Amino acid sequence: MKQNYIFNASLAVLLAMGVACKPEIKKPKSGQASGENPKNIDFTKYYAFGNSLTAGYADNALYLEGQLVSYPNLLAQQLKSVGLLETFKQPLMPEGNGLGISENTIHGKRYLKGFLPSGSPDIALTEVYGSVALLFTTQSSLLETENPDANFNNMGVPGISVADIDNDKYGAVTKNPYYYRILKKGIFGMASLENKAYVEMPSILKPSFFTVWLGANDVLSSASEGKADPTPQGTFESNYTAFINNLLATPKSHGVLITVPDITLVPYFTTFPYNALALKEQEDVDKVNALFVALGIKEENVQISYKLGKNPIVITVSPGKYRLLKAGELTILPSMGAKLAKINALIQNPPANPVELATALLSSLPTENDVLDLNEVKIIQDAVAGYNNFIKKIAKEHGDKIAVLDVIPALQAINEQGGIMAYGVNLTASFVSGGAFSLDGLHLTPRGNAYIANELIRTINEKFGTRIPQVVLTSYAGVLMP
Amino acid sequence: MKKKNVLSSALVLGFLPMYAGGFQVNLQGTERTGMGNVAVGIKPSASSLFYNPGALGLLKGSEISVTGNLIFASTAYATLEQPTQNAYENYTTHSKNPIGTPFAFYGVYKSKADNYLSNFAFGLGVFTPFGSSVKYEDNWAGAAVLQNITLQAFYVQPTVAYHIYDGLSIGAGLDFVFGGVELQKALPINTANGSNANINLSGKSKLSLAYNIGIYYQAPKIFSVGVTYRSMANVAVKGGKVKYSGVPEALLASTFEARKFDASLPLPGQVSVGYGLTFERFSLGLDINYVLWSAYKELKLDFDKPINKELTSVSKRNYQNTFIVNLGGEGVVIPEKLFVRAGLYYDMSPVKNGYLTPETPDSDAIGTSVGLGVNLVKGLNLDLAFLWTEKLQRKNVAMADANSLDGYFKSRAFIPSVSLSYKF
Repeated sequence: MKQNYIFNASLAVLLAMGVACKPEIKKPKSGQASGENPKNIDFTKYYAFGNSLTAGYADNALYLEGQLVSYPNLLAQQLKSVGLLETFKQPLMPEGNGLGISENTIHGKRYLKGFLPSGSPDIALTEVYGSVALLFTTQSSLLETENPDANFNNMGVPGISVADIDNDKYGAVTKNPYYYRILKKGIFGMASLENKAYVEMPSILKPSFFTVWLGANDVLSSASEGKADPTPQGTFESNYTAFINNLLATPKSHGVLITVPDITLVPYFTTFPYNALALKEQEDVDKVNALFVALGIKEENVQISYKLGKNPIVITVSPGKYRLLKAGELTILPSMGAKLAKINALIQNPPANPVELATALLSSLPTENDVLDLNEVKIIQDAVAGYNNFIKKIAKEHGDKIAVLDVIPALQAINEQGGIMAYGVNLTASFVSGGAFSLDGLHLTPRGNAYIANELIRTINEKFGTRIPQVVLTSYAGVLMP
Repeated sequence: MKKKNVLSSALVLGFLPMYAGGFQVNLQGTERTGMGNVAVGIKPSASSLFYNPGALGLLKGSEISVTGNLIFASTAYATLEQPTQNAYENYTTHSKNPIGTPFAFYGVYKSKADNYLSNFAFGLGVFTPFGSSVKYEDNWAGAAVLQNITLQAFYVQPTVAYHIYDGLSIGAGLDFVFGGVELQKALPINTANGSNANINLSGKSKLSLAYNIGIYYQAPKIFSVGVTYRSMANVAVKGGKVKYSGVPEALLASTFEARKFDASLPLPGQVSVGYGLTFERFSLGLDINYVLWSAYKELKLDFDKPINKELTSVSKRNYQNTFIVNLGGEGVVIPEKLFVRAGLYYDMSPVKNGYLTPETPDSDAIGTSVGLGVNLVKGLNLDLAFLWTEKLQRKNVAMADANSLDGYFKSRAFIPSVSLSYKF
């Protein structure tokens, strides 16, 4: 009995030691995150405006997991952690693969199926299943059951450009179903708002705090088809001004404007550089050069000839007319990727029939639609610079109310060799391996969203004297491996 | 994640959470632990085989002793704030270390007969003066730097001491050192369920040798002094295993090709001087140790095949030599029956600013101990001790070549110790 007692007492003491041994860290007070808010900024009605980047669109689709880590939701989560915000609602998709729209077809999200023998990623699209597709039809009552009292704080609308925001038909189902979806139920119990233009939203919602990240689609919608036809600066300025004026009409509102990302720095355009055609064997070089001679593939009457190593990509300018890409020209990830894969396959396993081989190669050559040439790159970069100068000018005019986050340096930082380093992990803009961009090469991964959220939080702290904590980058995933 | 992780099995003999400076573990005798690790120049006993082999020549007879310790250690980590950049974070976490169980065994033969042999003492010791076992949650913020590490070193030391005359004795031991290491960290790859892929390195070292020499002098009354030197051992792993978890097959062929690694780690040498004052009812001791940590310059891993095109990985450590100062005493409550002990030490960290790592979240430490000695029956003694080491909070702004992370670290350990010894 007694020995048993001693044994139990000793065990209890030992267990207590294990529990009691828990050191605590005392940070200097000046360094602690807190709800400090010296300028009494009202964050309680925070609304996020923007396009797909704001909506949490990723991997070519709007889906639940992506929405949950949208940068506005991360900012809201951090605001909540220090008691500056209570609720932040998003128009969440049902669980599943979500829904993407490209080239007039609907599909699920992209996922990494594996890696090809060449080492390049093998990316596939999931099916859209069940009732998700119905969300985008006029008959759908799903949205009502899904979101009984729709009044969403995340007003990110995939696809929207500044040029679109004054269009009162934009919510009509044939135009942009993502917008229609948010407005279908109406806001604050009001009747359906599907005929309201986006520019009117600030007047209806009356945010006390806002973030605005619009403008990427003003350059992207043409660039993604290999063209440079940005929204004219004048249209951009007048629409943007109207939107900001409507935001500032709410008394005591404050917010952050985020500049337009330089899309020429994202993997959608940078993954395959001008010289992405790599030949590792002399045998392959000889085969290709023989084919080029046989098919008469010349640039300005000079026979095109490849060497071992990296070679500039040959594109068809018009039937029978070819050119080599130049340094600085950009290529479109999905279409260039598919064509390069075909060309590489033809080099590795050429069909025995020479006519068949020639036809296959000619039909696989990229065209100007797969490329942004130097002139197009310049037009896009100039447009982005023009928009951003204007955004900074507006922010400066309302300097007491509006902060500006310039995302260009943040994008440049992850484009540099090694990118940025956080907790032993590098974050770069490289496709798949870099961790910042999702499998569509345009939208952010959870970690990429965390990166932007941190930049945003830093901007708010700097401007408004708050001490909102940042998120830990390594707590958020990059691209998920198979 | 792997469910069955060898490192998670606590209470396996020889698992040693970090607790002394660097990855040193000064727990080689309960009697010494109770006196703040004062040992070099006072009270010759079986554990002198480790602390100062010179003192063994003054033993009054043979002695066998076994010591066991439990280390309850925890490290708190918090991310660094950068108010000048308006960046604040409120992330904190605690390590989940297994309970460490360093041990020591000593057997010393000393003839009581009055012949030429009685001036000699012969001994054998087995102890674990270096080791580390630190485990963090698999998905903690710094997982890409370290998820867990276990470092073990076993010393087997045959020893001989010679009593020259009066109170003067010298001794020397040869150390056969065996070791092993296992470390795991996350790779910047997320598996389909969002968790981290990881890399695991494990290996056993080849035998390496070191030696331990000492001299001890007991004045006719009161005063005693000892000096000792332990040489460095270099623990080298050749052909250790590199394993991956959660990495897609294709990347194992193209990016993560390494399957084997070589690495080596110095277990530093040490010079110690100890003084003792022994009175009828109490004794006092002071030790000053100089640990030659500067031998640890870098952690270099050589792989058989490249990882991310690199065949080697070098993380600078740039340790510095350090002092440990120990002060302790013993009071006699009942002569030859019951003793009480207490002690204090200050243990400087060998880790320079900017080189703090989660694998050795080290800092200057203050150790406080109490102890009790009881004579159970003739010749048989039971010693108990409790040691509390408090490492000072430390802020780390990682140097680029350290491959570590920024943040605050703070560690604490509670160590109960027990030993049984028999004198004959």
